[in-house]
Order: sequence, then structure tokens, then C-alpha cells
Amino acid sequence: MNILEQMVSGGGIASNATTLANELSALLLAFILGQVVAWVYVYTHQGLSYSRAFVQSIILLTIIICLAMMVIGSQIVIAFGLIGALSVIRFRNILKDTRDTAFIFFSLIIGMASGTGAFQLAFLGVFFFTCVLLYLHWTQFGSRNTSDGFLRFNIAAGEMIQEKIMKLLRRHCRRTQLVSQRFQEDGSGEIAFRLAMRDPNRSDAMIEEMQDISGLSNVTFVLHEDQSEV
Amino acid sequence: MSQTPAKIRTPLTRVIRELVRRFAPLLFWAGAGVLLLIVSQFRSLEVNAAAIVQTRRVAVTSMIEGVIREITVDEHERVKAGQALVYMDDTMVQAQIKAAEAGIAQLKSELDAARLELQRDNRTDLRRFMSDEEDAELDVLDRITDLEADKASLAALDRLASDYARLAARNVIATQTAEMAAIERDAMKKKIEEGAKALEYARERLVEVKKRRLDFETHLASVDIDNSPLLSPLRDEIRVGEAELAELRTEAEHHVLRAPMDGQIVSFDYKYIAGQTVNYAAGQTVIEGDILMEVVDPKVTLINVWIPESILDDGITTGTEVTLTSRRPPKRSAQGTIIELAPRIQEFPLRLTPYPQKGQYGQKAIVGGVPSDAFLPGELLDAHFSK
Repeated sequence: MNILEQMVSGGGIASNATTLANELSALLLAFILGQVVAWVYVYTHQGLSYSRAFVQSIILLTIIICLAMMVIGSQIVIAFGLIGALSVIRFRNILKDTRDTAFIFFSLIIGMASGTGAFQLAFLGVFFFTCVLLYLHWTQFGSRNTSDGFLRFNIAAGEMIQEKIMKLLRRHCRRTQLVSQRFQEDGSGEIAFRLAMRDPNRSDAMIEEMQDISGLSNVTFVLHEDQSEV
Repeated sequence: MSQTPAKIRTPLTRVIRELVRRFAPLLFWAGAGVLLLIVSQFRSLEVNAAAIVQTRRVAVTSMIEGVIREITVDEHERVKAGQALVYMDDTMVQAQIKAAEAGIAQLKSELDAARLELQRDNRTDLRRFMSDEEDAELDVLDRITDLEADKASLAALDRLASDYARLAARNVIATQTAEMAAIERDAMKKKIEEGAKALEYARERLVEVKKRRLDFETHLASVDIDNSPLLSPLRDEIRVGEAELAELRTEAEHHVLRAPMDGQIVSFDYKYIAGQTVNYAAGQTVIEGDILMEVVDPKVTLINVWIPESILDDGITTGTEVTLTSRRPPKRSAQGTIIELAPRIQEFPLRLTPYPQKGQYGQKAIVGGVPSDAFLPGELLDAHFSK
């Protein structure tokens, strides 16, 4: 009851001062800890639902919530207002992407900061958030798929050319990952690799060299720019 | 012979991009950590407290029981120290003062008359002494004259007695005549002796009288008529009268209520009787101790800050800087320094608690060094400590 009274009266509580140092240190700590959480998520994630946007959202949301707490402070009225605004947006817009949600939430918070007179906080929040966004974009943080393309080819029955193929692939690629291989009853088969090329510009040369290998057919290589990553 | 295919080199941009992808997050993260360590040195914790501006208020209190004759000031009027604010009806005491002054004047005139009479008496006594001396001198002269005459007579009688004795021896005259002449001569001798003695006595008396006169003159020279014991009763009476007059004048001064200091008049509606305010005005009766108004010093010098008990710690000491902000517009802000901390926890004034029925406790700090015109007396402020 005492805490509630203090929250309503708005006085008598020790709190972080609205100084630039306090605000910046809070945002930095949120970023640092959010980054740790994101790393742990990337390292421990299993399954097919991995999403780079989600990983980035982890970091963005820690910063956004930190900003929200600084804007709200100890004023319960502003907190209720935020809840109401979020509810309206949530029911009016179905947000599938967590990153989109983060941006919407951030816009709300910046609006609240400006409306409550926390101009310094609003400016600092936008600046910091922009820097973090650029960092995430520039470093491609959260991206797991580092391969350049997807190689598929058919191998004739009886052909023992796996060594030759691997030698060629090792020459052209930094990393190779066998994705699938299907063999027919007659011994012919289809093999697929995910490749990280040393020089993506030499993918045509690699395909030509593969086509020169006898026993290989239907050699196709699809670059990842043509695919959409979730 | 087959040629060994040329080694394919990874383009530099790709290498850089790969390095960035691998290590940039770690570098950014480490950089953020270093920046956080640096920035955290400048962090401050703000303690929010409430403050009330101290007011230096002095009550203007009636020192006597009486009727207000005139109130010379209005509420919120600026006054100077010593300025007359309220005049009480002093008709009776002024009359008493006049009577006392008249009485003292009369006593003083009686004292002057007594002094003059004393001086006159002294002069009369001196004349008497001088007269006695003159008489004594005359007496001496008379006796000297008589003695000389007797001596001359004795010489004649002595010659006569001698002649008669010779004649008697010759039986020219009767022996009785010669004896009579001798007897007269002896009588004259005796008379001269007695006269000499009397002269001696007269001279002694003269000396004595002179001495008495001189003594009296000396006494007169040393006597302070103003302090003569004969005038003491009158002087005592005058002193008593003057003391009574001083008391009356003091009492008259109490009929004028003056401003105790430079300031502003507030709180005319001060007295509450049965829930109603009472306005003091001319013609109203007041009793001793009634507070008619207050004078407030508009200059603010000290501010009481009340720090809630829940957020007290050792970080707040004398010398801690405080930022004070007014709660009511226009928004004013000023810096101050804690000059004194209360030694114990105490209950907050009711004005500061949102729920008066529930007390709030904390420590009181007195803040000084605030510009005197920053806030109004009694104003509520917000106090912020950065530590």
C-alpha cells in the first residue's frame, strides 16, 4: 500500500536520475544482456523454425523495454496508457513478424517519451536504436545460413566419382554440407550439397568443371539470393 | 600429364565480410561493455524528497488588555522594523502620565525652595558667627582701653599715695588720708590685675569665636546643599515619582504595537473562535497575548527538506548539494547545500503527507545557500539529491 501510495503521489522514491549517463548506461546494459540472450538462443536452437528476425528482435526488445521503463518511471498512469495503446494496436493489426512488432512498440515508446516531455530520452532512444539496427544489419547478426548456394546433380550408376567430386568442391568451396542423397535401385542417384563458395563469381566455372566429369548429369546450382530466408 | 588446377583464392571483400560476420558482433559487444564501464562512472542516483520553505514569522502580540484605536497597515503591506502597526486606546495612561509629570514638577519646585531656604539659613548662621566675632573683638578692644585707662589711673594713684605717705609722715595730712590713698592705689592695682585677666579671657574668647567662624565657613564650603540630608525626603519623593513616570511611559509604549522586523504583514484572520475567524479592527477589545497579525520576512534563507525514511542512507550528509524545484507555476529552480541534518527520525508535517491520517516519517535536513528571492515563504518544493 505504501508503494502504491508513493507511485500515485509520484514522490519520495529514490530513482535513477534522468541524466544522460544513467539513460545511456541502462541502454548499453540492455543491449549487452540482450546480445548474450541472443547468442545463447542461436547456439542452443534446434529445429526448423529458426528465424534471423526473431534473433534480432531479442536484442531490439530488450532495448525497447528498457526505454519503456525509463519513460514510464514510477508513474502508474503512463503504464496503463501504454497497455491500452498496445492493446489497440494488437487487436487492430495482426503482426506476424516479431521484428515488426518491435518496431511498432518502439514507435509507441518514442511517442510516449515525446509526449511526457522526456525529450532527451526520446532522442537518445532513437539514436541508440538506430545504431543497434545498423549494427545488426551490417553484421548480419543471427544469420545461420552462411552458404552461397544449393548444388544438385545426378550421378550415374556404377560411377565411383565421389572423390573427384569432393576434390572439385573443396577447390571451389570453403564449406560443403551434404543435404540429401537419393539412390535408385539401379545405383543411380541424386545428391544435393549446400556450398559456401570461395568465390561466388566462379560458380559457372565450377558447374562447367562438374559437367566435364563423366557420370554427372543435371548439375544445377541455385544461389541463395534467389531464395527467401525466413 | 594433368595439370594441377589453380588454387581459387577467396576475394578480399568476401574475406572481410566473413570476418565481420564472425567477429563484429563480439567486437561491438565488447565495445558496448567498455562504454558501459566508462559511462557508469558518471551515473547518479536521484533521491526525491519534499521540502518546505522556512518562514521567519514573528507575531505581533498585544501586550495589554485594551481597545484598538487604529490599525495603520493592511494585509500584505510591506513594513519596516519599528513601524507602528496598531495603536491602542491610551487615554487613561496619558492622563496618568500628565498627572505624574505635574507631581514631579511640583516636587522639584519644592526642592528648589528648600534648597534656597537652606542656603539662606546657612548665610544667617554665618552672619551670626561673624557678629559674635565682632562682638568679641570689640570686647577685647574695650578691655584694652579700660586697662590702659586703669594703668594711667594707677600711676596717678601711686603718685598720690606716695605723696600722701610723705605728707602723712610729715604730719601734713592725716594718716588716714594717706592710708585711703594707698587703699585706692591697691584697689586700682587689683582692678588692673582683674582687668588683665578679663582681657586675657576676652582674647581667648575672641580666638575661640574666630575659630568657630572659620570652622563654620569651612563647613559651609564642604557642604553640598543638593545632597543635604535635609533635602533627602524630597529627593526620594522625586525619585519615586520619576520611577512611576517611567513605568507609565513604558505602559504607554505598550499601547503601540510595532513591527519587530522588516517584512510583510500576513494573517489578519488569525484568531479562530468556535471555527470562525475573527477580524481585528478598530474599536475591538483585545486581551494580553492576543496575536493581532504576523510579520513575515519575504526573504527566504533556509529550507526544510524532509527525506522519507524508506530511502535514507549514508550518502546524504552536510554539504550534499540539493536541487530545489517549485511545485506550483511558474516553475522555479535553485541549488542549495545541506547545512544541518536532524539527528533522528521524526514525523513529517501534515502538509507533506498525501494521507494526513497516516503519518510519514523521515529525516529533516536544513538547506541553505539558496538565493533569497527564489521561492516564497512557506512554499512546497521538490528536492532532488544527486549522489
